[in-house]
Amino acid sequence: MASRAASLAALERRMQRRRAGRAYHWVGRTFGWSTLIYLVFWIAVFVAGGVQSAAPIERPLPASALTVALDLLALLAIASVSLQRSPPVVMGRGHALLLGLAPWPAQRVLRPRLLGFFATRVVVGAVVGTAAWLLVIVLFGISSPELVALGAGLWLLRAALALLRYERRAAALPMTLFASLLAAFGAASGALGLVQGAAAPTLAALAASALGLLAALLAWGLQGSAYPAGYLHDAMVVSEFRASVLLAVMTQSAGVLRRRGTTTRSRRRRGGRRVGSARLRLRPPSHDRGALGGMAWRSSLTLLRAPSLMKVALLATLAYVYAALSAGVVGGLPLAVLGLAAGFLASWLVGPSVEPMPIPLDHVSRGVGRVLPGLVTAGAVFLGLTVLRTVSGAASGASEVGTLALALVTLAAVTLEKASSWLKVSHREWTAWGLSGLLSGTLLWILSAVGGPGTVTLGAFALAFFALLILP
Amino acid sequence: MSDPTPSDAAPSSGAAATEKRNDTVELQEVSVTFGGEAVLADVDLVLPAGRTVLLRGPNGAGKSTLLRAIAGLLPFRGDILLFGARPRTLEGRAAFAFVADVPALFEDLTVREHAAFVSRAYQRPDAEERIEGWLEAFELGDRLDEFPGTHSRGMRHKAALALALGLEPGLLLLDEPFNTLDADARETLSRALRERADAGRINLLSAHDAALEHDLGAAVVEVRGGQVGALRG
Repeated sequence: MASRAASLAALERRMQRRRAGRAYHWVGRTFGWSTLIYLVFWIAVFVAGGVQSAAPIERPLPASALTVALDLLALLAIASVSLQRSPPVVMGRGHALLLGLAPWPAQRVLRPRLLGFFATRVVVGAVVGTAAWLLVIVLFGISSPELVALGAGLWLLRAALALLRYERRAAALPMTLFASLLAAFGAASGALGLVQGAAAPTLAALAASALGLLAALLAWGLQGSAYPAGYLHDAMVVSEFRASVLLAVMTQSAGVLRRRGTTTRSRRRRGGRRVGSARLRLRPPSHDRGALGGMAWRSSLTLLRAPSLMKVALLATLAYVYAALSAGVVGGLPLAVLGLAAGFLASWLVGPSVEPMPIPLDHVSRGVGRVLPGLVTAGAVFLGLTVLRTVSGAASGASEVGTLALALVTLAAVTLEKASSWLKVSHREWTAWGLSGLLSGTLLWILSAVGGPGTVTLGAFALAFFALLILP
Repeated sequence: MSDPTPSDAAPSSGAAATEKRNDTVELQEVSVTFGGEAVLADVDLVLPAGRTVLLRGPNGAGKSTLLRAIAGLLPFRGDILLFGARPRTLEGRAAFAFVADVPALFEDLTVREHAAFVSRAYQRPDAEERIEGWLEAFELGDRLDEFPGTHSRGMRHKAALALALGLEPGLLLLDEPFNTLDADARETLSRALRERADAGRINLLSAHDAALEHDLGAAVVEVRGGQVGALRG
């Protein structure tokens, strides 16, 4: 048995070496190592030059805008985990064979690939952080080199959460919830925020890095304890994995592997359902409700079936919008950022279109059916937050904030519905929801320049209803 | 889409004449261009009530383009009237169902939910039960609670056909519907098309199989190089 393990270990080492060698030669042939070194050197020179020459604008923007912007960036980075549907680590044939044949944990087989995966994310995050550092100098006149560590920490956190989620680990949900809530309340709560921007960048960088490292260690540790069940479902190299599963089952039945079969476990997790069958159902409305009822039902179904993490991210973003508005955010840039948050919300709150089916739907049934369930959900969340705020006696005017927040989200949802229908693009396209969000924020800004909070709310609702009921 | 031009064949007046016009599908000088190149040129065609019409021709001849133009999915010049309504109006869209060669289904809805949603969107309450009946006929009865994304191409085609047949539209547009079907499903679809024609509805489909002309009792329209011939048979 010992000699068998030794030969398998030798096989593994040989395959890893060959893979590393192939990768080295591929990079050399495709890009050329000298070219890469030349590029890296000059990028470093340019970054250093950029940092030295970055001059702040004449009238720096208020630091509150920075906090709002960075909080939103953090929130989006974390929330986008839910959009990741492919395995974060792409495996080759060798990995699949090793996982299928060898009675070793995935951590051992995938070690180089996992390390590369995390390292790449840290580098990308650091690059984004560097860009943010330069931008903050120019816009706000504040030098915060900690943003480099903050970016790296956030990207590491995002990558680790994606891996945890992919492997269907329960730890992913509370960690994402925790991180999202920290980011969401960053603007309003002061010391608790994950991102404190200019106020306490060191604290923010430390928090993000620590959380990222913790999540990465958790993901790494879980790889060591069990076979990564998630890979069985959606492996990029499907054919290889089918072969490896078959081999795993064969070796298990032959008594080579002494652990519970992942196929049995995954079947049990599905509760005996067929692959691809619906878990969450919603009774369709009566036919008397007409096409509008049908559209609203479909939108509700989509909302109900959104990934759990996305639901958490939606709740956090709703809370963020509420918190930012209750903190008294004013001015063009913060409102644009809030508009983007509302646009992101709308991309998930608005129901799907009927494209490409040529279904005979009038614009009111289509528009109202697509936006109504999401807006009812948003209204319920804002109502709950208003009640919480009133009960805690934090401040007066809680209901006005809730109504204003709902008006902003309504405006963003209606704008997005119209944009996606007219331009024939998916409402999940970031260009569509980004533009709708910016437009909504701008409209809110114009309205706030014209009148008080009451005018803004009323005007936003009026614009939304006009667009929904009158425009095709 | 240009304004309608009066058809030479169009009746001048009278209730009977109007009724006759509203039973048919008419294409008048329909042209479709892609990037300045004509894919279909000056198509004049009248599809009479109660007929199955086969579009035949080599690959790339313009059969699918013609079907998509009739469905209002492509911009065109000329005029298309579906029982008197233009394809992109609400009345026009309610008058037909289209099953493309790659069927369009909603990936977020199960097969059963498709039936529920489509019957509500078209505001045809009785269609839901009919669609489920057709799904049973196509042997998808035990797959109703599954998402079409997990189904094979043939199964997706069957689901799309069941939706279209269950709606019982005046005009059924099918783009190469027999290609992916198994023998039983082909027979089911053939029977459905014959019954539809007997009930006075119109079927327009593209196909390469020469035997279909006899099986369906269909008229044939040859499409070749963007030119559409006259109705034959």
